[in-house]
Amino acid sequence: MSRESALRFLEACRLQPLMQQEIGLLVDDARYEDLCAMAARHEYEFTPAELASAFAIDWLARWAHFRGNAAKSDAQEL
Amino acid sequence: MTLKPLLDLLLPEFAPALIDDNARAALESAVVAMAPIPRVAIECRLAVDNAQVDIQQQLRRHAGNARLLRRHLQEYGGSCEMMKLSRFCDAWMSEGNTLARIDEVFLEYDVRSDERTVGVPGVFLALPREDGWDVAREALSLFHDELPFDALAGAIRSCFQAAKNSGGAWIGYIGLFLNRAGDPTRLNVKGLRPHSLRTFLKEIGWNGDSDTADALFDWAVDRVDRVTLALDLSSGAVLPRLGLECILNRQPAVEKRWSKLLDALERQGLCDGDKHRAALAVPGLTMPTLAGKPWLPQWIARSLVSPTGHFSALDRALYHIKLTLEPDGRREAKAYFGAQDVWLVHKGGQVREAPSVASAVITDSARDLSIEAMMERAIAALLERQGQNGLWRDFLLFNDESNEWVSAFVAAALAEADGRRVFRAAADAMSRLATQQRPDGGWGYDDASEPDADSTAWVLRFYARFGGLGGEAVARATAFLRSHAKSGGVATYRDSADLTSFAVVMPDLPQEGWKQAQCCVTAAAAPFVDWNVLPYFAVQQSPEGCWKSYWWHNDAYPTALCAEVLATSASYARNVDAACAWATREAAHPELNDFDAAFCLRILLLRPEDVAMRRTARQIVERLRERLLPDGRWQTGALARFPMPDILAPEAGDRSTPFQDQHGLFTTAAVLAALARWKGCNHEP
Repeated sequence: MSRESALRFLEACRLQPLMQQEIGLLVDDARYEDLCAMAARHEYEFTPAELASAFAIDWLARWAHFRGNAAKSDAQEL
Repeated sequence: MTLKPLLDLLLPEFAPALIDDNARAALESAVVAMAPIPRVAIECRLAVDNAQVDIQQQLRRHAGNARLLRRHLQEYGGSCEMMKLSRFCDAWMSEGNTLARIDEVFLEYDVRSDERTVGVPGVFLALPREDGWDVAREALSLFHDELPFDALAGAIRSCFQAAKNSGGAWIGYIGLFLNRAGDPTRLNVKGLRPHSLRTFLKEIGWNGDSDTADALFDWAVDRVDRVTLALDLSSGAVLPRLGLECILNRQPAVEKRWSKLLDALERQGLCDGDKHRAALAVPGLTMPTLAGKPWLPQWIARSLVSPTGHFSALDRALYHIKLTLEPDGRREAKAYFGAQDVWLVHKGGQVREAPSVASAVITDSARDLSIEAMMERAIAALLERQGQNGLWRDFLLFNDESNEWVSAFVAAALAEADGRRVFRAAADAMSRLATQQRPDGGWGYDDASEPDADSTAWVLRFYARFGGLGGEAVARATAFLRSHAKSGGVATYRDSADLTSFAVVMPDLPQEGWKQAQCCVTAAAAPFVDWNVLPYFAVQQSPEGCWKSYWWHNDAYPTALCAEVLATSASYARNVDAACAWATREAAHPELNDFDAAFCLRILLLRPEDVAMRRTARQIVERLRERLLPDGRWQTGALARFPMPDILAPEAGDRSTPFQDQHGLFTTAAVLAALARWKGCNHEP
């Protein structure tokens, strides 16, 4: 059980088509319990609180990455 | 699964003045009964002594919300009304059913902080603008199946008919209060013009105080972008209570009129000062990193199947202020706040909202459209955006958006394109402009600004196409314009003008820049002055063939207007030729925007017999055809500039940020007028 495991789960969901399919079936009905259960089936163990915390970190890391890329692209245009 | 996590994210943004502890607890109880569809509106009373807060839930058909609600009702529903709601979901989901034409449904829950119980919600259905009655009738028959509802249906139908008769108005929503005695029905009437209100209310049998209703409606229309009239019906009769939903298109951070509206309500004793300040502080974005509470699992799941560059956020918005007029004359004000997920992307160094599913599926191509069809779309887009007071708004400067100058320009283009079809809109615009004419005869950038020659010239150009102003008003306007004579041309402001109404102008700042003759203003005013302006234009033409603009970043607009004036005299044929040659070169520029393209087209149409000019003109038309947006507008491209008033020649090294027509109305009107001239030259197809 750890936030790191939740972070790895988030990354895997974006990369693995099978997990994409499973998430796609949940989307509007998803509960934290459903996401944790799905993760467990793929051998990722974490609590709902750890998943919530991991998502905030994942969001911030992606935000920083894309903001950096956008700034680089603007600089190149100039 | 409940909506409690959404409230955990949302309610900290509401100060206790708006939602106190009791109301907060009541809301948390209420959401237990609601389906887990995280899109809500919060309704707060603004009076000092009224702490009641209600909640609405917004459902969208294309998002599959009917299925979720249906399943939720199977678990929680049980009453007869809930069964009806469940049956409605079945019909709403079914392709081919009349009710499938409803895009959006609001469920309105009355929350009592003393009882902490929630009953059956009111059901609000968004009706299509065309054939809305057919959809409303189907919904009524479904929800009123066990009782005869002929009387109610008859009264509602007469409201639909009266809206149609009023010209331009329509019933946008029907609300069924399944939870209230007498099964009252609410109708929301959109697009009603102030001058049509009295006739509309009479036609539907409303027997309240028409003078008071008229005054309140006028008051509201003057202060916001849109006013929706809310009517209640019961037992086949229209009830005397009226509601006015006052809507502004933009949020308080970029729209001062929210604050002005709440100021006015505070002065009338309808809004508590603390609630006023708290209401303006609610709108904004909540991000997962700073939320301090767990993000919604639905949004996490959706994020995992979205591109990694799309970021889930919670958008908090002030939807509208509702004013209610009771039969005894009492008034009440309420604020409606919306909360829903949005998806952000980084683009061009800025954070923007990712296109929604609905807009992403638009596959419309304008490439095959005829000139008439392009003009039809542009006319519809402009009419759609006309305010209920008859005016258009665009260009956000220091003070506010322009209404008089922009309205005159847009209306002149509409009148040029299709005077008959736009008669009602043009008449409303001219009627409103007539009431705003200043005592000295002029009009201004907006109704709060010092009148100027350019705005007045555009009103007179509109008048020349459409009429509608009295002889005395025209004479005063013409005299006002002529009083701006300067150095053979026309100045924007005359020497006696007080420019301190503009936020950037200090009383002791020199103002000779704004009070000198300018080509762009002189050209607009030329048809109405009583001296020969042609020599002025000939002298001002640059060696490249264009005329430099004071108020615009680019030169196509003044060049077109100046060349059109000179083309009235054969003596200046060489000047016109030079302008056409300049326009040909400009038209080849790959980054030519649509506004400048429109004016280049007008210049080239001054030499329709020239084969090369005609070819270039046709290329511009093709370019405009390709660039027409699906909603009938062209991309914003009118780049105005506002130099400090002491600057005489801003074109020399000016690098100030241009002010754009952010709604694209000025550009669309410019293209429409140019296409009308193209069509007039019989260049179709």
